[in-house]
Order: sequence, then structure tokens, then C-alpha cells
Amino acid sequence: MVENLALGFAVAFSLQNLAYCFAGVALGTLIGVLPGISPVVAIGMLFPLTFTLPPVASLIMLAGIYYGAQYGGSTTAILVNLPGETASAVTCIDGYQMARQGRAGPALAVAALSSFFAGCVGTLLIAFVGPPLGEWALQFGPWEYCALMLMGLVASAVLAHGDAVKGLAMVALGLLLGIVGTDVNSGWLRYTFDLPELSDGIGFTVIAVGLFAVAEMAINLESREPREVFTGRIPRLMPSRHDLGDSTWPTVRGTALGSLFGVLPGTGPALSSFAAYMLEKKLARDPERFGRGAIEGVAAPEAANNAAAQTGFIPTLTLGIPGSAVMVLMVGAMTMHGLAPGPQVIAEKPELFWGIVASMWIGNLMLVVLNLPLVGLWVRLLRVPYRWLFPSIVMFCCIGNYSVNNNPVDVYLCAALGALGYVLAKLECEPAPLLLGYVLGPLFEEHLRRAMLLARGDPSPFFTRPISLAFMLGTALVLFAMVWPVLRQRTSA
Amino acid sequence: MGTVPIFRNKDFLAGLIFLAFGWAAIAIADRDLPMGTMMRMGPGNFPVLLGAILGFFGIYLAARALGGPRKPRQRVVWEWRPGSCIVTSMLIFGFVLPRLGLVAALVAMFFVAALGGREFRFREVLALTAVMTTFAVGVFVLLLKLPFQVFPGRYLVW
Repeated sequence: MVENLALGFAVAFSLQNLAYCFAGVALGTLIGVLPGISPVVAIGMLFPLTFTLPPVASLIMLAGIYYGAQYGGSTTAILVNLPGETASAVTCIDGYQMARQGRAGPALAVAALSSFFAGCVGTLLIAFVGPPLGEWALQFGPWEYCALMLMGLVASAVLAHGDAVKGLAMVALGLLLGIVGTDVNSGWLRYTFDLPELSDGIGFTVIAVGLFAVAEMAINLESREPREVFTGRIPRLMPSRHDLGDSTWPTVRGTALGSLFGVLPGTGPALSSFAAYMLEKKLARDPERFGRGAIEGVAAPEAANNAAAQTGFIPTLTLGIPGSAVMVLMVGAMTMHGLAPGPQVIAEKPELFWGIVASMWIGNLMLVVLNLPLVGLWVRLLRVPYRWLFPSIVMFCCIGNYSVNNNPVDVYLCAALGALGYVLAKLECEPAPLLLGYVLGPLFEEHLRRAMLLARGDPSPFFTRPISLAFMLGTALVLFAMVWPVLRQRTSA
Repeated sequence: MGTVPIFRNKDFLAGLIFLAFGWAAIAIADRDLPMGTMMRMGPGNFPVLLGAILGFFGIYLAARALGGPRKPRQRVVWEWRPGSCIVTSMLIFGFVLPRLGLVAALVAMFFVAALGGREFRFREVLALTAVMTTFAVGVFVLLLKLPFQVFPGRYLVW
């Protein structure tokens, strides 16, 4: 363990990787602070910048962008009452109230410090839980992988906010988009419409940028710019001793909750920050303070979402099964560098796994060091009007997609998917389950085929092999949780 | 009041879209791809399965919308301008870049995209285009060395 972490830090502390980590965190924060850009969009946009880097450096930079963007999201939540992403929506409630009471400084500081604490715990958890989990996963056959992916896909659909049926349909649509291209088993071209550009499948950035960035911009432009920017100066940054005391235990509880939620496939940071907020409200002696600038209401959700963001790397790095949209992007990045994420990564590329783990911690540290003193700068960025921003985002999307294959077809496809994404978003269909389905599609099919072949066309091993059965039961449980409220309503009505 | 026309109903429209994709997936797979057997699943097997699932959810959503109460919340209000400006600007970018180079593509892209915003101020867009185009040439072409043609004409390729 210790020598592994040492190896990791040796990798992460190389001057080059430190520089990329720093660049990632800075760029991520910069973009995350700009209103209306979520971490997924930030990563999708900056993704092409990392193509030319070596794999470790590129992943370190992407992870840095992710933390930075997430932190930037909570900054806007506190100062503008505008959550950069769903995970910081809860932070808005009390964070913005604190800002209005002139306590923006302590709110930002507590958000950063509790995130840092959660980040440290999360990094340690990855270091301790990752390798044994990876070793355990080496025993997985195709049945277990299928069942696990099924559970993750169903969970992501049901637990995403909105209609679970639409979520499941989006997963199916994503799986279909994922299998476009040449079938690896038989060499048949599927759904390529005789376009040579589609024979390698629909590009990963095309889907991510189209569905998230392009569709999101179209949606953002419909609403008036919500401009009640907190323009006052931030008088005092550091929280008082009293503030720190009040936020200690909420931070610890939020971290614990977030770490747990992060590992579960499909749940992710958004759900955990919400759960942490509810927990604090339940535990508080005077719950009516919540919603009026309670510091616990900032500390707990921020800790929870950062812990979940961190432990979300556990299934991603060890099993190759991402649990959230951002993790999907990380897997996409690994695949582009020719690395298949999975249990073999830890054993075969220890410098990659441990390097990323170590750089996560460094990234978190950089966030605190970099961002707290620079709050004033970020505040100024908040005032950039959206009508300057969105054409610039379009530019990044275009150049990014074009540069992947140096081919305009990717830009056309991205535009088309953006249109589809816009229509689906207007119809209240969440894009995240689709993205998860898209990434898992080929993997799922491959394992399914192998499972059927090995069992000579008999599907029963899915239910007779213990680990596979456990995942199947988990899937059933999630589905039951979705159907149960409807059934209960019917019988009582 | 209170009722929503069915073609403005979010669930119904989502159901139709899913059904259309599911049906297309099955139809194309059925025409082009061998199904294989349970033991040796062919390239068409999994897509047909997915198409069926997708179609089923589509029918379920549409039927639920037809049968259930029509809540005003279910009404979808389209606003076509922002989305279509952004999408068009991307198509133009893709079309112009290989023909006239990066600068021309970006100028066209910025002006069309900006039309999708709430307000369009010519000078502002001009300034924004100038700044971002310079930035793009500097970072993507000079720094990251992406193989883009910058200006039109054969002799000015970097």
C-alpha cells in the first residue's frame, strides 16, 4: 500500500504532471465559474486539448478539470444562486443566503475546506478499496459483468431525477447509439447508412458535446439571464472558529454519506449532496435555520458531493464501469488512449492507477490553495454576460469535434445530436442515462454474447452464479423501488 | 383551459420519438443483419432486443399520456430560434473550414450563433469574433499545432 502510494506520488509529483494538474484545476475552475457551464460540458469542451498528451498526464488533467469545474459550480451556487450543476443545487439554498447576509467569504471557505477534507478521505478510500475490489473483480465472468452493468444502467435511469420510464428508454437509446459501427465479433457494419465515417462508431466527444453542451446552450438561451450577481465585496474570507466548529461534524457525516453513494453505480454526487442536506436538517436541533444561511447546509452537501465525485472513480478505475456522466467521460478518455479500464489496469499499469489517485489529492489541495485567494477574480468572471459566452462555447465544440478525426462529419453529427438532445431535454428526458448506455453498449453486448456462447445458449447462469445473482437481485430491487409507489397509490385509491 | 393538446404533451411526444427509434432499429437490423441463434448471437440480435425495449417504453409513455389526466405541466413550449441558430452555425463551420480555412469558418460561426441570443449587437459580436478567432489561431494552430488551414488559398496554409 505504502510503496504503491509512493509510486503514485512519484508519478504525480513529476514537474510535467504537476503542471498539467495545475492547468486542469485552473481551467476547470475558470470554466466552471462561468455561468451555465456544468462540469460535464467543461470536460467535454476541453477534452480535445488533452489528446496530444501522454495518457497519465491527460487523465490527471481531466481529473483536475473535473474538480475545478465542480468547485467553480459551488462558487456560482453561493454567489449567484445559480448551481453550475445538479450536485451543487442544494448548496444554493443556504450558501446564497449566507452571501446575502454578507457571509459569502466564510461560505466559500467552508465549501472549499469541507470539499478538501472529503477529497482527502475519498482519495484514501480509492487507495485502500480499489486494489482489493479490482482483485475480486478478476474472478468476474461475463455473467457478472453483464449483471453489474445492468444494475448500473437501471440504477442510473431510476435514480436520475425525472421520470424513471423515460430514463430507461434513454438507456436503451444510448445502448443503440453505442453499437453503431463495425461489430467487433462479426465485422458487420451496423446502422452506418453507408457512411465510412460511421464505421468506427459515433465518436465519443460527438455524443457528449452534442447532448450536453449544445443542448444545454439552447435550453439556457430560452430563459432570461438570471443576473442577481452578488456584487458586493467579500469582506472577510476566513470563517470564524464558531463557523468551523459548526461545520466539522456535518462535513464528516457528509463525507461518509457521499463516499457510500459515490461507489454505487448510477447515483453520483447529485443524490448524495441532497441526501446529506436532508440528513443535517433532520439532525439539527433547530431545523428552521436551514434555508436561512445555515453553515451546515453548505458544509455537508459540499463534502458529500466531493466525496462522491472522488469515490465514483472506484468502480470506474477498478471495474471499468462508470457510475455518472463525468465518469463516462473519464472512461472515454482512457479508451481513446487505448487503455481499457478494468481490473487489469491496477496490475498492468500501476503507475497510471496510482498516479491518478495521487494526483487527485494534489488536485484537491491545489483547489484550496489556488481558489481561495483568487475568489475575487472568479467573482469578476461571473459578470461575463452569457451572450458573449455561448458563441465561444460553440467555437470550442466545433474545433474540438473537428480535430478528433480532422473531418467535418463529426461536427455535423454533433450538431444533429445537439438538436436531438434539445428536443429530448424539452420533453424532460435526462441525457445522463443515455451517455452511460452509449459507453457501456459495446461492452455489454460483448459480455452478453460471450455469456450465451459459454453456456451454450442457456441464460440460467445469470441466476445461478452467486455474484451475478446478487447483482440481478440488486437490479430487481431498484426496479421494485420504482414501481412500488405507483402500486401503493393504486391500491389505496 | 387546463387540457393540453396531445401533440403538445411531453410524455406523448417523447413516447413517439422512442417508438420511432425503436422501430427504425428493428427494421434496419431485420433488413441488413443476421440474427444468429441463442448460443451464437448474430450482429442483429442485440439491436433488435434493444429496439423492442425502446419501442415498448415508447408505446407505454404515449399510451399513458393518452389515458392519463392532461396536466398543464405536461405542455411543451418550443422556442426554435436559439437551438436552430447554434446548430446551423455548427453546420456552417463544418462546411466552411475545409474550404476557406479557420478564420472564415469562425467568423461565419460566431455571427450565426450570436443570432440565437436574446440580443444581437453588431459591434459586440464583431469584437468577440475578433478576440476569439485570434485566441483560436494562437492556441489551436500555433500552440497545439492542429492541422488547420487558417486563411483561404493554397499559399497561406500554415
